[in-house]
Amino acid sequence: MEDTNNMMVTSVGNDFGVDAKSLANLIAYGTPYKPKPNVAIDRSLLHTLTIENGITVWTENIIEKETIGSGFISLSQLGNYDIFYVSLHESGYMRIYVDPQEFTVNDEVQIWYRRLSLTAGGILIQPEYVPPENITEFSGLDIDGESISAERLYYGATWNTIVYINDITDFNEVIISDGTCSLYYNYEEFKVFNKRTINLDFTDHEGYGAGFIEQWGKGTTDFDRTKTAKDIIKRQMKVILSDRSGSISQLPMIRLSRLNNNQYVLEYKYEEQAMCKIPDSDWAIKLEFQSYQGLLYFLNLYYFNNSPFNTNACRYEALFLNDYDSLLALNLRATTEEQLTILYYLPYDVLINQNPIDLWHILGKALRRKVSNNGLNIEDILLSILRAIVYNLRIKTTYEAFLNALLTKRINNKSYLYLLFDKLNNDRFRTYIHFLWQIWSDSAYSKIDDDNTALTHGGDNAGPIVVPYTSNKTIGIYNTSARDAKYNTDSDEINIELVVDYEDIGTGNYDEFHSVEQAITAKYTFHPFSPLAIINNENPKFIYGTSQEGQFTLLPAIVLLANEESKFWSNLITAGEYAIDIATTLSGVGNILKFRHLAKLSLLQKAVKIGGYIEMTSGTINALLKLSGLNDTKFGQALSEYLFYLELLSLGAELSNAIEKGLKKAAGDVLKHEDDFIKHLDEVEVDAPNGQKRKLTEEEKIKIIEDIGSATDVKPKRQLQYKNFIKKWKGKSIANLSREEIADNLKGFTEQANRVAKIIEDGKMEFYILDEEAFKNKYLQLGGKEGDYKKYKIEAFSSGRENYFRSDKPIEKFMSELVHEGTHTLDNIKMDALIEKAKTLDEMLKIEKQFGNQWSFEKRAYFHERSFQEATGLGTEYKTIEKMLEHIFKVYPKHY
Amino acid sequence: MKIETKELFDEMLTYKRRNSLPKLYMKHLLEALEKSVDDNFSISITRLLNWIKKSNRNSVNKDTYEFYHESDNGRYQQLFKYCTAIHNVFVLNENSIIWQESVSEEEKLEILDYIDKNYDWKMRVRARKKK
Repeated sequence: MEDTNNMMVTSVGNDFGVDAKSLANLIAYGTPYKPKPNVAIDRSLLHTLTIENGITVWTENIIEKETIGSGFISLSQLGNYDIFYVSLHESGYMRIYVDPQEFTVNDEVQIWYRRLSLTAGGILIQPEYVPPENITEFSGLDIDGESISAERLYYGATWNTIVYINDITDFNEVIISDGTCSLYYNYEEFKVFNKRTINLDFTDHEGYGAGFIEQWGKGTTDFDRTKTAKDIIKRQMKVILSDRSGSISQLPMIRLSRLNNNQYVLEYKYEEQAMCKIPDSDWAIKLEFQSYQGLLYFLNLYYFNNSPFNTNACRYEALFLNDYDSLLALNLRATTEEQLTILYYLPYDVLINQNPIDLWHILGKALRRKVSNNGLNIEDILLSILRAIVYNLRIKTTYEAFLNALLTKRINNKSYLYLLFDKLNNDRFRTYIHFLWQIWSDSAYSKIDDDNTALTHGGDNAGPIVVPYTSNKTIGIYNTSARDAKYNTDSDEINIELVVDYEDIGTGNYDEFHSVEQAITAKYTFHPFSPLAIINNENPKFIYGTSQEGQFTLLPAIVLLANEESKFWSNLITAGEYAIDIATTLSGVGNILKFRHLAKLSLLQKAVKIGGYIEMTSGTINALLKLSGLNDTKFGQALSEYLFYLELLSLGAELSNAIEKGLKKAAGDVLKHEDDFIKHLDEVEVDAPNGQKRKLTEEEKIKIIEDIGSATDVKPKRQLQYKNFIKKWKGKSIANLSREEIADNLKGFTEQANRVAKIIEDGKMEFYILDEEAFKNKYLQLGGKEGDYKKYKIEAFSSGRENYFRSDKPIEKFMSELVHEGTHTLDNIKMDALIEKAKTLDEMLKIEKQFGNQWSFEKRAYFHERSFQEATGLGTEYKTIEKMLEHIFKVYPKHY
Repeated sequence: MKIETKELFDEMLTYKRRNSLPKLYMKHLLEALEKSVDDNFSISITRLLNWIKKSNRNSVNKDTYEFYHESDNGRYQQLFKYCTAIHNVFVLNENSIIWQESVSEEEKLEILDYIDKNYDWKMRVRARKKK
């Protein structure tokens, strides 16, 4: 959103102009306490990097106290580097990335950076080269896309802040205010302002700048002269100075002088008198404003948004803020118009500290009015209010609450969401939609999981996640596949009718050589915040800018609706396409390889059993989708949906029920068109190593179809069989189970369980199912201790290749224990085989060591057991892996 | 203890404890290891050693090892078939193993002590989840 005011402080040299900004700068950054020659202080030259809620934020114009040099470490000490990325970490260290080098990894050239880490104490930790994906903490320090020199960066460990100096040639020394809000007022420095009337150049609440005053002076304007004359007065500030130098408070006393034509007055008092509330006394600087707008503008210049002060350290801050609040209160009790006017001038810092309830209230009042930026800039103000409300919800988990409030708060039964949608125009409409999109991206509404109520909204009639939305631009005219898009005022639902297929309706009369196709449409109903994925290559002009990276864009349904508003398109044409947050764009399939290191990828492999072909499958589908005409068919849509889930998983999304369900359904839908699929596979060409294109081999085609098939049917079928087996043996003694039946039912879930089944079949794993007495007896016979028997409450045990189980165990428990003890037996068999080959005692010991301590043995056994429990779908014994490990570490001695 | 007997037990211990000579140097057990048709040959050694290990409770009868498992007979036939030295110490009956008469009471005690001291068998247990 654009700033409501242009409040940037510009540089002051020794030759400054006689204007408000120069005066504000002098007051804010002048010479604190005692004069210092040749010091240039300008916070607009400084950039800082700080951490907020765990995210490093790169901001301009935020100042920490202290002088660079004492509290800051110059990064040039690390070496004369050009720095490419910088990041801060909450635990109090920073990293910089320098010295890019090309590395070839798997035949791919990558740029690696040398990473230097600096602790809070300024100690450099062992530098190392890291691949680009390790720069996960990328901070956004990438000024104009260029590297920056180390000597411009200072690291303030105490505040965990980085300061960047824009141009070090500008001044000899940088001083950041020490935050006590005292200033040494040197009359000689200020006297050029004395008795001057200064015109304040700000964009007012009606959107006018001071620039037209000049035009008026030249007689070239058609503006209302009365209004213009008033405007000039409104913008006047008179400066009166005392000629006595000395320490003054940087925070002025604010008062309204009713005697003097309702002037607003700022008085900067001498420090020894700063507590003195007597008006018009002991001031060094007195500023007289003809309007509160002018006064607010002047304060905004240095106090709030860009404040150099550490407010906690300001002795007079409470007094100052008290004055400030009284001034606001004086004006806030007025009409809605005046309330909104004053909101316009309120700095963001102040606005966000207003009670959200009041802000919602004012928002409501504003929405009842005609909203436009003609006259009072209500559109800007509305957006400021929204921003301020959201700021109050900085904990992102409550972003849903904000979105929900937009729906539940209503005027004449129309939700604020749609009131704003209808009332905002042009750039503000675009900003609003973009703003919603951002908030939405951080809310639970954007997550594809079971808790997302927007996803399940509408029950069976809910629209799909991947919508066949296409758009293009031909000779300046935008055209999309939507036939109709509107929202329902009562239900807030969005109804979109999209072309999903074309039907050949025979030859037309006019041309016997061309068949006529008729569009088939489908009507979808969405919750306004329901996540939708649209395929990017079909939407080259859709909000998308130049990035070709992603295959899908994820957006809330309301953005699609906005897209269908003609005003939105005209905005795009004038404003250009705007880039969206990278996080809302899913990566292209080509990138899957890069994500290999993500642990969660194993989930994907589990979801689509045959891991190795994922890439080929997704690559092929990607290629298929580019075949002309495919997208407009149901088969094409099934393919894109399947691809969407593959990409989602490849990006490390949790395999939630919702995603698993979606994946299964999409895979099933693709296979419904199996004949089509095989036919189209013949057309696909892939890149051969020699740079040529080649067709897929028969084997590859079969693998791809199997790959998709495995995502849909195999697992559920196997689980069902297993459930029947469990049901069959429920309540019966497991002692009567045959080896064959046990082995058969272990198979088909995990590789390890398959291995256990195999050694049971081969007779390499012996097991006995005994009653309590025999079980205990056997344990003691084999050297077990009575004490351990009680302590561990032993459920089963493995003695080399023999394994013992209790006959009173329920069937599902026994099966799971088999995988556990079977894992021990497999370890044993493997160790025996290796040991037998050993030639020296040393080798033997090494082999034993490879298998680790007791914890290693148990971890293997418990992990495999848990995977089996998961795969059978009957629930896991330990809710999390952490809980399971806790059990191992607690119960078992590490060495045994 | 006779030298040959000690060698035999050392090989058994090696096979089960892995802190002594590698298989390569085995004399008495090698043939059995290589020729036995018992896939789980190691079990016969484990059980035998656990039987004569004094400190193992519930295995008090150190005079006779009564077969407990159906497979034991076949399993020990393989061991006795391919290992000559074992005949100097034990006799295989249909359902049990007993000591050779030629083993003196004194030597028997020596063997029991030796095994107790040197045989350390490890089992892996599945402990119940704490509520």
